Amino acid sequence: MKIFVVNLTNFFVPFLFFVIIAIAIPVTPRASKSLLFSSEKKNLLLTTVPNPRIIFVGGSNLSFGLNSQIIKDSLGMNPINTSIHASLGLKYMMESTLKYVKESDIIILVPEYSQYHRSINSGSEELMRIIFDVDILNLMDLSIIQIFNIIPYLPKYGMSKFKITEYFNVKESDIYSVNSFNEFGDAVSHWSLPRQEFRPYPQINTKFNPDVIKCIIQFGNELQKKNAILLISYPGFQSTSYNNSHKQIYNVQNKLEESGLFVIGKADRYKIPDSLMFNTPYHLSKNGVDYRTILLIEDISKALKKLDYN
Amino acid sequence: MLFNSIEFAIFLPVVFILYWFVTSKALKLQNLLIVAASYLFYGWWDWRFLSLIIFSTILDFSIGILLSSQQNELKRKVLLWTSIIINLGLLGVFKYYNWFLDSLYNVIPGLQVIAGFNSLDILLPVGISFYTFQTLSYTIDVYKKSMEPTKDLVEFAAFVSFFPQLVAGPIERANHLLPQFQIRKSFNYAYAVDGLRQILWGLFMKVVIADNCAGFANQIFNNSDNLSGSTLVLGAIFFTFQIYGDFAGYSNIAIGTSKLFGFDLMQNFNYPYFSRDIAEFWRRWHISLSTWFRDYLYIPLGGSRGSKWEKVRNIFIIFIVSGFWHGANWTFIVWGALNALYFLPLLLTNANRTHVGEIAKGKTLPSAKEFLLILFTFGLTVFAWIFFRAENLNHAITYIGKILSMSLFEIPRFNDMRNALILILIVAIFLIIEWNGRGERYSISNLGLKWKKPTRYFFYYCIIGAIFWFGGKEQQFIYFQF
Repeated sequence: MKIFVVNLTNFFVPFLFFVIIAIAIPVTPRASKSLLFSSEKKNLLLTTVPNPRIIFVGGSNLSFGLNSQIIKDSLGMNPINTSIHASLGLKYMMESTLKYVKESDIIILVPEYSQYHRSINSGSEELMRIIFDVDILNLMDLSIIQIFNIIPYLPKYGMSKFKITEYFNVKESDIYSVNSFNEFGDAVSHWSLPRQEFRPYPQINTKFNPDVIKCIIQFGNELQKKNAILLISYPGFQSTSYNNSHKQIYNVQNKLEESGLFVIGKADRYKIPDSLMFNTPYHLSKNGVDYRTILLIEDISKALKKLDYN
Repeated sequence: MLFNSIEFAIFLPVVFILYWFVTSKALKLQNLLIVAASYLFYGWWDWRFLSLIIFSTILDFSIGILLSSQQNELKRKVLLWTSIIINLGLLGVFKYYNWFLDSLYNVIPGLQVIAGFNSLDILLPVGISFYTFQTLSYTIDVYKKSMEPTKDLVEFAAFVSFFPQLVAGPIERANHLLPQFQIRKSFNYAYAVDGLRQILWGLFMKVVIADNCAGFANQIFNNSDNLSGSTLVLGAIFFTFQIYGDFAGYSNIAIGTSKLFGFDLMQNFNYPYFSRDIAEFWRRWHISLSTWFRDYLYIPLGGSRGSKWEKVRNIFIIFIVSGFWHGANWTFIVWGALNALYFLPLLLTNANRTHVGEIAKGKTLPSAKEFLLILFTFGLTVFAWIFFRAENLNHAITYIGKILSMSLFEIPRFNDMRNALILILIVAIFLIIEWNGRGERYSISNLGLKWKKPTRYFFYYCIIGAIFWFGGKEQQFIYFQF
């Protein structure tokens, strides 16, 4: 038994050593161009943009689906689009924003439909990279379970540090780059690019997770303590993909309305014609972005009137 | 708790340490630990499911004792059927009730209004089909007096709930597994190392082969209307490797984990895709279920004895029941019936046991004839898997219709072609390793044993590296839903 434990340790020590060394190597040139690094600029916006502020929190549907300039012009508020990627997880998005929220901020939370159907603590490669590539202090925004869930991605991350292509002939992506964003945090570099072919999402085949709603309610309570306001909206979703999952989406809408959260608009209002999408069922073309932004402005205006917000 | 999850990566070493360092002195303690760990493992999905497994355990334990003390044949039969009806009844309610009702209402429109029965909003308990069959084998064997019942409830609970094989098999026979809980285990170094090696290979099959094939298979099956026939063929082949990697991978992890605790589980897969005919395929695929049906259904029905009509009937019954066991969907029933059709010519010509030994034994490559037979059998299997994977019969028929169109001759196209080609290369390497190890219980069991330690370690590091490199898209095991 002793020999077994010793040999097992001898086997794993070099492997662990390799992973630790790899993690300690600074971020590679390729990784440093990733859109995850936009979080640094976005956090700066959250610190410096003055009142009155309207903060958008969500996945790439928001970063690739909002024209903040129109919002600024129509609502007379200072928009900050914090969204980057849905894989970071709703919990992380909310918690990493919370610390920057100031009094009388309006927060528009737009979870993507898949986020209502997965664990609130799920890990992902993007979540791991925003910690280990961008800022290790982001670890403080994670729960213990989230930390456990990102561990399996570490060996692959470590191995990527030894890939030659990470260091040489590094080209910045036209669409998904740290420099793809405008001064509000909207992804804009794709606005001038032609539409790309993509396949619609099939029906959502996982169960609705009620913990997501509980987590949003908790986020709302935290915001209330800071005298900020939380509004929930629906993602702009490609029409065909929407139709494939209309039952699941209708269920999400029902659960949100039953929850007592302040929900603006209806899900089917944000069913975006296929022709207005860019390269995935959640990424909108420039025309799609403007179309969706106008819908959102109408819903936000109604909500602000209802709230008597000045 | 999934085998390929971080929770299990913590759970397993903790149970292992407790088993060998804390409870190793007493058999009762070892079994108690197994039961506690297994209930924790199972309750991790949903603690409410535990009530069912506890109920089944107590029921079959009690019936076993009553059977041994009862001499009256009629009363013994009543006891046996009580166990069968209750166990299969529970399985029926949780797994088949809604499907049965929906099918009935589809056939007789308007019946719902008259009957007033509605679908139940119930979850299917994970692994119910597996442990139900395992406990049934115990009751039937005790009834047949082919084994003595146990008088120790903890021992029996450990047999029913043994966590490595609880949720997706291998479905163990009581006379093989139960006696292993009656002997105090002492640690065996070589056996444990072999177990680790098998776990490693199982994880590779699951994470690298199955999960990556799943991405493409799902993409193709979910968009089959928009893809060419050639792409759909590729989709069916991806699914063929997905289901093998998934289930055989799970079985390897289960068997390897059991070895860490000194237990021997039966081999569940024996390189089925190298089979030379469909009868051989069924001797090599999901062996624990096939032999269960053979022993407890096919042979009692008369097996291959009797008239031609009886043989045909028995074959169709066993394959359709086997299909139905997989789930409440007509696609599984058609999949079973299709396999019966494949099997029938072999049975009727007495050719079902033509290929029983190791394939191309002692040779590096198969002969041309063997190769063609393997290819033909593989083709039949891929075709049958289309029904297994399709959402419904209509989907399967449309899918096959599209394959049989002129678009079969187009170049396959789908998202992420580059990664698909990489995956095809990995599957090819995997097949070479499998072919090389086809005489062993799992393909890397002897690979590299004579190599120097650094080379051998490097080989294992490569497998671990591949698991992490290609992993991350954690998928449920397909067979958990059965």
